[in-house]
Amino acid sequence: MLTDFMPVVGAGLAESKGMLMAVVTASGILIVFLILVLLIFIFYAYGGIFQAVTASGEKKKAAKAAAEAAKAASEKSADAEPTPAAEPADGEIPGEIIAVIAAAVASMSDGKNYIVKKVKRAPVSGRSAWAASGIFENTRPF
Amino acid sequence: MEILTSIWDSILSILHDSGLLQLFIGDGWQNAVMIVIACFLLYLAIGRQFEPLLLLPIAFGMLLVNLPLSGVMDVPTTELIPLAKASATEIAKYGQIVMPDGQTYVEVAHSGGLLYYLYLGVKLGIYPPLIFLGIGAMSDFGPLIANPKSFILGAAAQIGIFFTFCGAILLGFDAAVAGSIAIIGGADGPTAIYVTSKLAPDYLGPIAVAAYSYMALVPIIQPPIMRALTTKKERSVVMSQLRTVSKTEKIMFPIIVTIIVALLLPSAAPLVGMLMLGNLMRESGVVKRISDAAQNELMNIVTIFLGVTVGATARGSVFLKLETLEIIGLGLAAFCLGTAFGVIFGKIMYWATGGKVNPLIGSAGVSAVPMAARVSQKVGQETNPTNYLLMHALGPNVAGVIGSAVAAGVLLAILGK
Repeated sequence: MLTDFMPVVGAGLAESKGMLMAVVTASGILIVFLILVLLIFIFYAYGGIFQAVTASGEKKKAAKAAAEAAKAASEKSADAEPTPAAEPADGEIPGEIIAVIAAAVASMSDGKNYIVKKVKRAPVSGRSAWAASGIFENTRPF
Repeated sequence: MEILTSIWDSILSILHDSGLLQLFIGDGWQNAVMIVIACFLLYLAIGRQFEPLLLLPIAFGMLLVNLPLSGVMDVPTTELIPLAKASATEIAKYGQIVMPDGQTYVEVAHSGGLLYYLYLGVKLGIYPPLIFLGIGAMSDFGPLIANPKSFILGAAAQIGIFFTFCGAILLGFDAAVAGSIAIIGGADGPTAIYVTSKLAPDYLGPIAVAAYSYMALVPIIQPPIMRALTTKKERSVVMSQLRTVSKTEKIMFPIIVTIIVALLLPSAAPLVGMLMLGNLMRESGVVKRISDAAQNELMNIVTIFLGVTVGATARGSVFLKLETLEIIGLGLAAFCLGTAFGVIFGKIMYWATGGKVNPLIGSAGVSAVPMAARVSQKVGQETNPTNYLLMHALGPNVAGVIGSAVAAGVLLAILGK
């Protein structure tokens, strides 16, 4: 036990307040830091091992999935090739997002008909409203 | 006329035996002052909602014990009554004993007050580890496992404890009492009670009341210190998202911490062991029923017993002393120092990581889960409303619980010899 290596305060040291304060303060801070720093090293190593094991597992899974996909693709005929979905141009707002915005406006319109003519991306500082809302939902119990 | 005199005599007799008169006799004024303090604390708990779960039972216990003749904290006693003066019922119930002087007596036992028996859980150090069991079952150590650096903030916030120890020694307290006062700086009520019940049980009342009061006042005490020690730039740091922690890691964490801490510092084993047992019950997922019981029923029951009985230690004659004011002052110093050292180490981490750590999370190292983490979150959002520090602050916060239990173990190991 760590404290066995320290002098017995109740015996000789009680005579001197300065000595008592020095011993308790120095050894107290030292032991608390020593134990918690030891835990830091242990849990860094521990986290590293777990992450490595998880990563290698995921790598194997991904390789297996890729091999299966390649096998399936080679079996398909060339004329059944799917048409790739239209990707929005860089900076352009995808159609689905515009539909969601229009639906949100419609739900708040109290029966009036609105037409969404223009959607402009607002500058975001820090987290987006969606991310902030998600975090808020998760941290609200605290 | 005779009837009127008899009625008057009975009224006087009732008044004489009432607690009301006792308030005006001898030291009764101290009880009156404590009743006013208890009512003020009840107002804070109900009207201002300052930690009502703790403050309400504490204040009510304080009120009960200071009502003269209530007898709620009376110690059980025995009384020797000469056989001639004892009633037949007493003789039948307690039997007769012959004393060395040849006289026969009846030893009549008077049972103690209700709160005296409940207080045994505090005196014997039973409630604090049970509270730790509940805290463990409610805590998610994920943020700490994802970012083990947080342990250093949990350790830094304990420095205040040891500096306050020096202050208490300089004010003339003996080593054991000084250690009990200093542990208030851990901002952990159960730990403060546990250490005090072992080192200086006579001081349990003022120390417990001070510890719980400061825990309730975390949102008021900490922010000015946090703002004073950090710049706006430091407070606005947005920390990167923590990695996902697997279930296996969460299950192994309490086992590893218990083994390491209990091997190195056995005196911390009751607190750390119960904290980690509660957490293992939560994370293992195989004992959901007892994990729920630890988080809810057990925690609530022990909180009621602990709160009422701690409040009941604050009798006017014990509480209204200069020493109590010194204890309250030293406790505040310990708490402020703990917060300050946490923030200072947070700043060191800010510099060391090139601005990736927000120093505000350091103040959460004083434990007081999850209040101190909430304060970090709130102060962080004052500078940057889109900043969410809560999960990052929970790491140092739970590290602070482990840190304060370790600091308690150190004080018990050094001063308890």
